[in-house]
Amino acid sequence: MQDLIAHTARINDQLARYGVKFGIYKNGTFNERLFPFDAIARVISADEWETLSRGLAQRVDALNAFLADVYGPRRIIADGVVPEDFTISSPGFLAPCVGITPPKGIYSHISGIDLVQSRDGTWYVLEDNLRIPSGASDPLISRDICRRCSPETFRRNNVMENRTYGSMLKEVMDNVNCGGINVIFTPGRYNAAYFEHSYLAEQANAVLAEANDLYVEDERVYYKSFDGDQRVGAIYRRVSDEYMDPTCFLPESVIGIPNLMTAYRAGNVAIINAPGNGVADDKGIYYFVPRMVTYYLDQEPILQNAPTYLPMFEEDMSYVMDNFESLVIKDTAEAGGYGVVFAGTLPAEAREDLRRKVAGNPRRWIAQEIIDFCELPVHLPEGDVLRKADLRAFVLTGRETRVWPSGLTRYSREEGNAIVNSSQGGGFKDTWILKS
Amino acid sequence: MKTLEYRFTTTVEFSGPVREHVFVLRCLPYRQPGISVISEHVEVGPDAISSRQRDSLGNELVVGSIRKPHDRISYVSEGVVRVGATIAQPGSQGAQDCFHPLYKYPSELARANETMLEWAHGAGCTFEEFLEFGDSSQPNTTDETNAKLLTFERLGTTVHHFMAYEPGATSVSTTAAEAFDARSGVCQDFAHIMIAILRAHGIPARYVSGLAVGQGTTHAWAQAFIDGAWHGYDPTRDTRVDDTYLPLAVGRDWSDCPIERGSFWGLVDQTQTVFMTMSERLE
Repeated sequence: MQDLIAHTARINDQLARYGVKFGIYKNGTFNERLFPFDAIARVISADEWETLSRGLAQRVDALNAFLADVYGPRRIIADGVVPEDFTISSPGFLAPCVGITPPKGIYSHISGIDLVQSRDGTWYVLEDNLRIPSGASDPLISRDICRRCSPETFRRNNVMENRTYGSMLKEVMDNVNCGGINVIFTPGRYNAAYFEHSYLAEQANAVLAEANDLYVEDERVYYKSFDGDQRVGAIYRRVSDEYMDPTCFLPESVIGIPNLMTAYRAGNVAIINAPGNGVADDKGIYYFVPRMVTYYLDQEPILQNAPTYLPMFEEDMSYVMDNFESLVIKDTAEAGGYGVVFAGTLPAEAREDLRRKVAGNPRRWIAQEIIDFCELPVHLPEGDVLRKADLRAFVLTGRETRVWPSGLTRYSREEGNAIVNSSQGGGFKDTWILKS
Repeated sequence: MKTLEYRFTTTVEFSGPVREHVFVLRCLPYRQPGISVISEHVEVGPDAISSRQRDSLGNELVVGSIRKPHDRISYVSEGVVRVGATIAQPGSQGAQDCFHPLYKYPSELARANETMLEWAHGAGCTFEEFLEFGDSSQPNTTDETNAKLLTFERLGTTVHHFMAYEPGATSVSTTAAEAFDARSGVCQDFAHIMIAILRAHGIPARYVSGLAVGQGTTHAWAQAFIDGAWHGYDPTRDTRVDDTYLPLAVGRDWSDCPIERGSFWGLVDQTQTVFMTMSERLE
């Protein structure tokens, strides 16, 4: 790997030229940052990966079953496994999606599951991202550049190929395509993830389109192309639910496709991922995911959640109040590493204030044990340092659910900081899955 | 039982050409027990491509588009319906239409606050009957259902007397709490306040937009799901919803029920003309 590490600066230059970056909102303003790459890859053994990927596929299958249930018969609520208000009154529950069965019954086609590994080697799921998980292009492009900088490294190490992402994505789109071309629908080149949108379109042999390139007529979606308008059968949209269709959701959206929902409702187009998935990746619903595995699949969950408490349950509330200093408190109304507080690090006054907030509005908060997750070496010119890191695994559901043998390893910017979300200013690494 | 004939036409004139125009109309009778549609017809012009759909809440939709440049869009909806005397008889079977638990929770425009709840309790709307007689989702004995209905109607009357009917005082995005603070509004606001208070007491409630005999514009009222059926009350006119009302759309609040939603390309001014009648056909 040493040969590769020597190329760190050059790899980062290349990534910058491609536009590998992310956007952050801070104090109400939007900024873009380059996404720093660290050349020391995270290595996962074949055995470990085998278990991980079975657990991930199982989890995503359960989440898909849950979404079909919540927008359909609501059995899991009737059976008392998940409280009604956690689903129906969640901001992610979208009334316009009730009763609509997406093509092939798949809701979450591309799931980004965030995991951490504790020092004893146990993997824990921290978060499910079932709306528009981003970041697959980062390990894809960085691997490509690494391979060019140091082909030797990949000849000497037995690393699983990750160039399969494009074909996996294509299979996912083809599987649900309702007749017509596959499109990746981007908000446009000013979006921080525009590089990813364009790169994935190229990799999956799909057409990259903006709102103005697409229209709905007679309950069908069309793409305006130079040689006549073409019917669209599947849309991998990188526009959030609220902005996707101004005649169904936010009327002020100018980046949506008006009446897209009418084509979707008629079963004439697949939307990837399905609208309404936010109800299943809410910080509160997370608590119930292992139970969903048992409930829908009648299997033992292979992957565990980080130990989590819901203050709305009396027993959990008293535990949370008694152990407040040692817990992470998460605001379910926030996302992307915001609203995550290590209660023990707060000054006494702020901590008591937060404690009162939790006691006053239990439904809004969850509490988690702090997992002392492992640190990975990060190369700096002055010498290697250790940083906390997580892993976003990409799970793709087509004819079957498969885990991409790669992933986005993110590390925190500062020593000891355990919040690794890219919106908090860290960097990323390649993730090597070794061949068996 | 009455037979009602309705007809409404809406024309929007644009100051210049617009294109890529799409629309979603909720202008057909809502299918609920007690209402049978004898005939209905919708026409959108000029040269619109349109189709019929039903949305997640059970509303009949006309969806479509006019992509070519045009400076006017108009639609006519007319038909004949037969409406039962009381739309749902207390305790009647087969009236379990389109119940969804989403009607139990506050929505953006129909969310109660402390002031509203204190006010309702002060006015004697404590909804004790609902606690006393238990589960409101199943058919119940007629006496118990009637006791619940009386409370529901008392809330409507109380809202009616508290609020001043004042067109222009509020807009479509005014919340129940804002209208309540202002003590004035239109049918939409009256209905939102009722719905918000009902939901705060665990009673599923929904917003209905539609037509009423003697009303020159579209109207709105509230429904509560009591003992297995939806019951309507019109807080604006302080009356039980009877066979002179025709629902067009139902939802959590106004935002689920607009008669018309659309989008087009063009920087223009628009003028809308609405003409509406509904009358009883005497046999």
